Amino acid sequence: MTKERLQKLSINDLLEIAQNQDISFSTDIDREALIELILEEEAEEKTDREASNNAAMRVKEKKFEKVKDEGESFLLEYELPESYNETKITLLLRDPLWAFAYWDIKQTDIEKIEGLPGAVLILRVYQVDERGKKINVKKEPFEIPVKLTDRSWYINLPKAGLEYSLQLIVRDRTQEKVLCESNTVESPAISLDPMEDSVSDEQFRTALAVSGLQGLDDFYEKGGIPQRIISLLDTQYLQLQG
Amino acid sequence: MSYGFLSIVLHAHLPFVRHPDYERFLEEDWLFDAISETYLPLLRVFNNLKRDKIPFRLTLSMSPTLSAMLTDELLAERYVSYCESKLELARKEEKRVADDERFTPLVAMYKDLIEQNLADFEGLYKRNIAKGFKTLAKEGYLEIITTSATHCFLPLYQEYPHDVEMQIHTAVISHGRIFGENPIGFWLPECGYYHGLERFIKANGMKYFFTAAHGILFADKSPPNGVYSPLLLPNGTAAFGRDIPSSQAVWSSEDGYPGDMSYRDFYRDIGFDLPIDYLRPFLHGDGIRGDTGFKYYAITGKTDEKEPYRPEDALKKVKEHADNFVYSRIKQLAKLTRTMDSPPIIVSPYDAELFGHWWFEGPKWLEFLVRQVHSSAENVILATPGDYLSKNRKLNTGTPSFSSWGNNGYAEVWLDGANDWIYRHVHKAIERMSELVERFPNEKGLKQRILNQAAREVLLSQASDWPFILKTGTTVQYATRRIKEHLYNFNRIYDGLCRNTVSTEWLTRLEKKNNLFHDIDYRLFAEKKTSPDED
Repeated sequence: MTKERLQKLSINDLLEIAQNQDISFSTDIDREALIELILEEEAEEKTDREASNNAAMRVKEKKFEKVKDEGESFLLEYELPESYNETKITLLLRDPLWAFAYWDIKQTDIEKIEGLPGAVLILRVYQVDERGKKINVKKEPFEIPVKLTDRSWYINLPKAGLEYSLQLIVRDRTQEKVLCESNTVESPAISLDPMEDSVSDEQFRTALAVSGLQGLDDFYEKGGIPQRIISLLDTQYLQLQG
Repeated sequence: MSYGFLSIVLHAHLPFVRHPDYERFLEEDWLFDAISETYLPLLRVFNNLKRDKIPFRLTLSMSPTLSAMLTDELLAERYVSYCESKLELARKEEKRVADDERFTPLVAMYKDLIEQNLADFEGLYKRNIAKGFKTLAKEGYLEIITTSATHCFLPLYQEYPHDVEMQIHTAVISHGRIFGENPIGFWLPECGYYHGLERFIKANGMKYFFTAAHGILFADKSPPNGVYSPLLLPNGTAAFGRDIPSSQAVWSSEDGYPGDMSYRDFYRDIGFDLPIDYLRPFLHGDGIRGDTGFKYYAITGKTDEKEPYRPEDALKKVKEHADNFVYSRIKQLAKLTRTMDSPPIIVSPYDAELFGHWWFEGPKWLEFLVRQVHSSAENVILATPGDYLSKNRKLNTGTPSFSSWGNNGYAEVWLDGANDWIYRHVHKAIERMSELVERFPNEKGLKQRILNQAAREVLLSQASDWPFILKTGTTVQYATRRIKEHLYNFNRIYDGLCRNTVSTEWLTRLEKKNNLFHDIDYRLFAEKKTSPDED
């Protein structure tokens, strides 16, 4: 928000904004000092945000930076339903090692679960083999306990390059029941294959070097690419070039 | 002797923002700024080169939402008013800085630019600058390609293949109508690729697309040529990988050319420097401060004490930077030709709006670059991906890996704590849309109009711009409103069709407001549609 915009707000609005942004201030703070604190906090947040963006995203951001303010306050009259009253789970892949699951549970199922003594909800993560058959990811099933009020979860996948799916399970003292199963996601492999012959090998090494990615060469030798190399690929090739 | 090819790709995109229900609307300025600062200056650069008989081949990706806005009469009318308002501000500024010789030439420069823009827009292009690009494509200077209908980040919709087909098919049809021929290439929004996406690209008649560098390097079979020749997929489409050094030289605000101290500073604008009462007639709403486009300072360095901008100094740097860019590419190509058995191609894709809007000198840099390539004794040749593929070269084969050009290379920009709430609702809308097609498979007349509008609203809710804005925190309220509004419109139609109570008056208003994709066919949302060719 701009200074002018903040100056138009009541002291109560300013206090609310400051509290929402976790700004520390003394109880006898005056209006102007509070506005300064909010502006400082916003500037700091903006710097942090920009720092976490790569070059492509920073440029894109400029397209939408018409004003440093949110503009008119729109009435959010188009509220969305909290639930579509169905029992369903969906899995989305965020990157090779993280997936996002969201789910919905229909009212009658919620009531049934609430009626089961000691019932708990669990997300069970499966690795799926090439034939679509589920395999438990570890010897011990990979399970994440969730609350009945939860509706989404970020899942740290154990290994890149595999396929995963989920079940949402309700378990009570005597038995368990699968409420729903997700789609399967395919986590990409993050590795470079050894070349079949010396000509291809030299070609590939040259291509990596010209890409400014000599750092990748080491990983190519040893096999396997750690996840952090992806961000190097995108943001810090100059350092890699040395 | 030619070492190889350089393929410059400009991706032009803005989300669909059109508010006939308001007299002026702040976010419509995204388009007007881009027309003034990017699209018209680029057209001038291309036409300068053409006038001077300098041959060039560049690729321009035009998003369907942008093309729709560039051919819209209401927005054209508003763009003229926007320019007139800027001209009035320029006249006011002339008086204000009359005694300050540091700024008088800069005000004159901006005034000339606005007058030139207005003259080109009205006189040369008759309020439709898409025609300007179309002419250059016809004359062989540009290869114009498309992207998904509303610039949807496709990997997050892969569970809905009929939606991906709808996004791509609608884009191709819209492109054909505006540019007179079907595109041969496809810009994956945010370079977002997932395994299998290529079948929709092929099914819609296109031959190639682009991915991030690691999409190619981490292909199922590492390609010996890296990103320097396209990867031929099993279905016959080709994936071109983004070259990192040439991208970074232009993208990076710190290490790249645009950060040079003599270039114009993007942030310092009279909209934040001058008294609010002076600016009020030129600001939106109740006098919210904002960019006016009148920026008088050079980047100078990491200091608040900025030096006045000196265009002549900047121009020298532009030439230097263009020469340096071409020299670096020739060096890259020379190294590659020693080991590669086919001619290397360096693919350098950029957001078009970088040029001119953020990097004020960007269009001029591009012009100098083309001139420098032309005089480089054919060491490097400008080529489009279509040109490269037309020669039947031997290519590395394989399938790219899931990837994007966003932070850390995957989906974390568009799937984050700030925006993940949208997917359950947008996915539900897709499911409901397919349900509507099943119930109303062959409607005509009013019901067809209703269903087509429902399809438009579902597509509009999927624009990657909204989750991007939610993540980066620029105009969050607006992005939230847009997602919710499109979903509300869709759900109102869905509920209305269930009860047979869709108001014709409301529908007509909505059709007039969200009036893009004239040829949309809601039936493509059919879930059981025959799958596209999977060769």
